[in-house]
Amino acid sequence: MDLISLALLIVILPLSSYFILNIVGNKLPRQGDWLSTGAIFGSFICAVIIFANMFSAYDPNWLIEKTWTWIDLSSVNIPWKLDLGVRLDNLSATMLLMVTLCATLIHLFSTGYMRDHDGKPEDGYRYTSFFSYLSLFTSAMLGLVISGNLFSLFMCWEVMGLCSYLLIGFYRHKPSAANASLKAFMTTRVGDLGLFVGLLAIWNYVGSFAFTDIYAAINNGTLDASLFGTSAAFVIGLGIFIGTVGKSAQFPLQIWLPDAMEGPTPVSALIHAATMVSAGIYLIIRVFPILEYGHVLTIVAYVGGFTSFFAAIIAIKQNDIKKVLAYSTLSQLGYMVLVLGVGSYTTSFFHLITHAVFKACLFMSSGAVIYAMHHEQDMRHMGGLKKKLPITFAAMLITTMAISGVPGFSGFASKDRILAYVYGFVHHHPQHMLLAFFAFATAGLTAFYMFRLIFMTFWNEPHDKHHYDHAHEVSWNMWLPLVVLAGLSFCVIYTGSITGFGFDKIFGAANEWIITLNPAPLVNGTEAAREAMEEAAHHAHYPAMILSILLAGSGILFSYLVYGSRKISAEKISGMVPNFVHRWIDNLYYFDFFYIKIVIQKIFLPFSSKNASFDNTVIDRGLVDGWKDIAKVSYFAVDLVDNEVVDKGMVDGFGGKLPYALGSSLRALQNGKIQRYLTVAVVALMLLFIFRGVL
Amino acid sequence: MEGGGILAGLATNPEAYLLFSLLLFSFGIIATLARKNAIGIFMGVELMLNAAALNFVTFQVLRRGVVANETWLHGHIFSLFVIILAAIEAAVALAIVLRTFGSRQSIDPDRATELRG
Amino acid sequence: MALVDLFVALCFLLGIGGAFFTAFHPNIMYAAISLIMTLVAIAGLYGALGADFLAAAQLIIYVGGILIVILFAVMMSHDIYKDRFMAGAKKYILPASASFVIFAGLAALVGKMDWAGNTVPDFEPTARAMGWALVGPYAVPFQYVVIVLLLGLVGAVVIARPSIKHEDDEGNQ
Repeated sequence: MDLISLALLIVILPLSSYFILNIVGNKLPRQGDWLSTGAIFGSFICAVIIFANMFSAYDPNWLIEKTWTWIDLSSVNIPWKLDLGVRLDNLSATMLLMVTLCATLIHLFSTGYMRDHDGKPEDGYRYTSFFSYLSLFTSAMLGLVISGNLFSLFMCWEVMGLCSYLLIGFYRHKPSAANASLKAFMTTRVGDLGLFVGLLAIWNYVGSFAFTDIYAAINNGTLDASLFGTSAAFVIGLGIFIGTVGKSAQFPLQIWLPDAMEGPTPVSALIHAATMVSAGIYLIIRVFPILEYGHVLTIVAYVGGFTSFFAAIIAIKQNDIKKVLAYSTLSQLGYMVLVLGVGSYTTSFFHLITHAVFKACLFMSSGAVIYAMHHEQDMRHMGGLKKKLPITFAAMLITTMAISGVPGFSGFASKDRILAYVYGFVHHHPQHMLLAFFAFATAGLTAFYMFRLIFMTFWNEPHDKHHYDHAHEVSWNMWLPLVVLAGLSFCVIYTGSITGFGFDKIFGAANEWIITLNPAPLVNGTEAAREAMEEAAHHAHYPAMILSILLAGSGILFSYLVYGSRKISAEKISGMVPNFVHRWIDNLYYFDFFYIKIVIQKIFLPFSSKNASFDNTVIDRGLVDGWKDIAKVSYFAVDLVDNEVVDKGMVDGFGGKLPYALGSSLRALQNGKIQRYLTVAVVALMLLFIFRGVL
Repeated sequence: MEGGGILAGLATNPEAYLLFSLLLFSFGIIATLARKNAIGIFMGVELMLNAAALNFVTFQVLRRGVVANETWLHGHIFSLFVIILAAIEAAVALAIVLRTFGSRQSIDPDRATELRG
Repeated sequence: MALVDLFVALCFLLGIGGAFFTAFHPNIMYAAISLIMTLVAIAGLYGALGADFLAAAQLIIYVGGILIVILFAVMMSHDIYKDRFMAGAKKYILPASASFVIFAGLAALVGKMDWAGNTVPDFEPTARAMGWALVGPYAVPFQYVVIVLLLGLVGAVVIARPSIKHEDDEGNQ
């Protein structure tokens, strides 16, 4: 079987599992969870084969592409052709491996998590639906990864949006979950609009959605055309980046991701850590040449930097274990966007992969904790779980060290590169000093709040004796995924070295494979800038590394002093911060307030209620009541001057009945009877005929 | 076309078709506006849609040489679309009728006045 | 006088008569059957115009669809007869006059036009040409229609489905 068929099989396996589960899922033994898990495991095997092929070739330009014609109208003399294609290169092969691995483990984890402690499915027939949604979601994500063009990528992108809606709102009896799913769907939709504009512009200028054609179009200058007073490449790049902002929850569309934690924890791990939000990053990595060529990168960098910094600040104050992880996801995604913005395609992808692995593990560990604590999510009620949940604790500690950037773990390698590139960039462009501040501050903050999570959950004495006594280690199908992913959180797997920059090589040719194999696609006129960037990053490497280790170390130490050994009182620290800052952070910088109270209620709703208010104020109050008031005044005036001359009936007639008659005759036009409305329309048509002189 | 008579050439006379569809349209308007029954209104709408569809085909077939030397059957296609949309309309309208009937035991449109201003 | 002229004249008569009764007959059954007559007459006219595919489509989709309408009407007839199907004569005045004005205006427009230069085409089967048109210049509109049809049907199901209180929806206010 050739690799293209294997790639298609990867998508088809979970998709068919989705259909089968929907049709006969309830009748299968164990309600079909093994089918879904087995299908994705089959995909994983295929992905391993593809990856092995890619890896044995070990060529940065490895590429297998195949296109099929979907719609071709040239046979009827219309030059309109739409292709579907599969593109397998180093990027998609690596991504496939990561997605299938995470998805398989998360499926396995779900078979435990979605059942109660007696092993019964949690929610009756909905158990099957859960796995069918997971399957559909995974197949869409995999389809997105193997897409050779933006069109099929966009289709999968939308299916993923739908699935996230279904899965976030899975606990549909909870109104908060229903609202969160709606919020996620609507917010990402705003971003999709931008992506859609980008796609339309690409179709207009390139005439094809295939990545190969788009890269070619950049090199031959097609995208230099002027559009909206700027270059087409800028419009396209910005549009696609807005799509990413929605999907990957960057500022200012970040509001949906924390709410999305209302979904079951495996969903949070799958969608909001390992895959879906990565899809946005994957997209901008794919179209990186457009962003670079269209000079969108500065915007990208600032959006990413700002997101990473302010999400880290919010994470410090969260008490819900999943919310902390949600904001740390936001922050790490911001890192990826930031480093793409300063121009390092490879590093962004590197961090995407390492982050997906350790964040999936962190989410599932938190899921295990929540499960063991009988769905208690508040960290203030936890504590001391180190002894009760040894495996979960070990896995979570390893991945926390990875995300905090402790040397030797995967997060250190990728984060170190990020910091080095940002440092190098700022060194050359001092006016962008703020980016370096964002990046380094986030590094310290991340270490602090992640260890705060560890200390609050696992250290010290339990806060809630009842829950603590009932807690016990989870079953094998829940801890096995944690162990596997924790094992993959070590640096050597990705770089063959400890630092990510290539001293202390261990594996010979396979050194730094993720970096060697994923160079950015070439674009005319940017080689010099790229070389300068690499050079700067190389020089910045050691200072950045030392600084990042110092920051991470001090973050961990401080966290230990406050939450581990409690040498420093947390209250005292927070008392030093002015109140308005607390309020600001507690209200998530008032973004929800802004969107709901200002944008929706003050701008959108008035449009729809304008007609109603016209009826209420102008017609009812203005005409009817107004006339009545005037009539009353005149009544009193007349009454005062001469009660006898003017007849009361006359006053009543003009003052009371006439206005009412006028008001109600106007009102009669809107009597809610559909035929009356139609008649008005037809009479208007008739009048139109008469006045236009047709008769 | 031997024999004359008032019917001679009727089949190829666009005016005859247009006047016919115009009559159908007028009856459709009357039925839509005056029926006291949702199904009656629905039938009026069907009449109007059919009148329009017939016009499309008439212009396509009988005015082809005048309007443009077209090879595509634009009029036919639009009539087909009209038929399809009428099928959708039938489905939705009947669903609404059923629903209305279920909730108020009547399909008199004059009784459904929740949208009164 | 050719046979086809006679056929067209018959269709006209049938159609106008059917439309008249659709608009004015007090009994819903008769009105619906009259509507079927009109639709069959229009199918005949499509045939006379050489639109064979449309004639068949009209018969299958339209007449079939309207038959279902009648089925529903009959199913609910017990209560339908309670409603006065025929409105009072007073209610017809405004619609009738408005539609008359529109009729007169458009008829005058038809009369004003110069209809010279008509070509009477030879009959040729249209199904093939229409098929090409649907995948050619009309491919995108056709897809839209398909989507609208699907959404309409789903919407109809959603609207018509009775709202049963599910037991697992208890918390869902």
